[in-house]
Amino acid sequence: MPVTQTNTSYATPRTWLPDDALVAADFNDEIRDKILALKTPANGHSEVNEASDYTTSSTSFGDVDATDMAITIITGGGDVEVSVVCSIINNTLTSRTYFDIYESVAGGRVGGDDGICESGTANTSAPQVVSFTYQIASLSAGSHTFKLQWKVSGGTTTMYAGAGTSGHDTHPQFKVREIS
Amino acid sequence: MADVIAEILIDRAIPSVSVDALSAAVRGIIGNKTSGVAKRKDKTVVLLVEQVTPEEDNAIRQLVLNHDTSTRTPEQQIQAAADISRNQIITYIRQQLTNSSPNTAAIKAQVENYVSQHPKLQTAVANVAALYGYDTATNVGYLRAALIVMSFLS
Repeated sequence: MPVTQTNTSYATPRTWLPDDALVAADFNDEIRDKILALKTPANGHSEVNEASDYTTSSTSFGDVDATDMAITIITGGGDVEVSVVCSIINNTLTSRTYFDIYESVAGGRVGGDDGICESGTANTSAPQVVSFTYQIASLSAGSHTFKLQWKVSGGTTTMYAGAGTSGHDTHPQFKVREIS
Repeated sequence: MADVIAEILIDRAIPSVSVDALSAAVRGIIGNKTSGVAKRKDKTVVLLVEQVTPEEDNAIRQLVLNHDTSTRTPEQQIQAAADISRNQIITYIRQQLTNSSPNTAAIKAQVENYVSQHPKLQTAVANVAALYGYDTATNVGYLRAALIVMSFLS
């Protein structure tokens, strides 16, 4: 299973008052646990190495992989950063490939009509690198699932995903991390 | 195009190169109810932007399960051919220009790619365009000139 997910609990630190007792439990909770939570906030990443590459001809956004390109984390509320890197190729000159992120609580994509970013096709034999980060602001506390989605303007796009494809055995990575 | 509202997952792994022709075949059954076809690991996915009837659902499943993966679209045949004949290009342009909504930019790119490999054709297309007053900077202008040149030469 290529997806790993880590969740840590974090809450606003208490306000200490004069004469508050300094007890071990409070130190562990307020200092140790919260520093650890800051060091490793809720995050997940997926690095796929599949038996075959992904391909789409869809002109509407759909999941790249609803299982292995999907990450669920439990956040304390705030901003989340999503990052993606992959290599793609479209078989039709001038066609574009668009990418977006689906977020489960809002129940939709975070980008515009044509997503977050696009990649053109100037050459049908040279793969393009798609690499971006995107900050999703002010999410509520709780469980959120993020999925990488894509569509094309024409032709078909293939995302190399291991698969032992000669000369194209690259492994896409999809990463989500709470950042505030 | 509208967002995807549902998917039909079929337990058949098809090669990436088959997705184009399969998409065209699926559109032949349900038209614009589909936004296309995807391949995820060992599954083929038909993405839907409108609900389909149970009969259409069944027809799509049968189509995918029985699809001949050696089938190629006209664009793929043109791309795959090591030495394309002028007649193939003419047939291709005519097919594309009779589409209800041709992607003229993509067609021009394909034809331009072929013409660019033949300097005499390049000159002829430019001369014909000048003679007929076609603007080769536009997709349709370029394709009209290319079609005339290749029709004469065939």
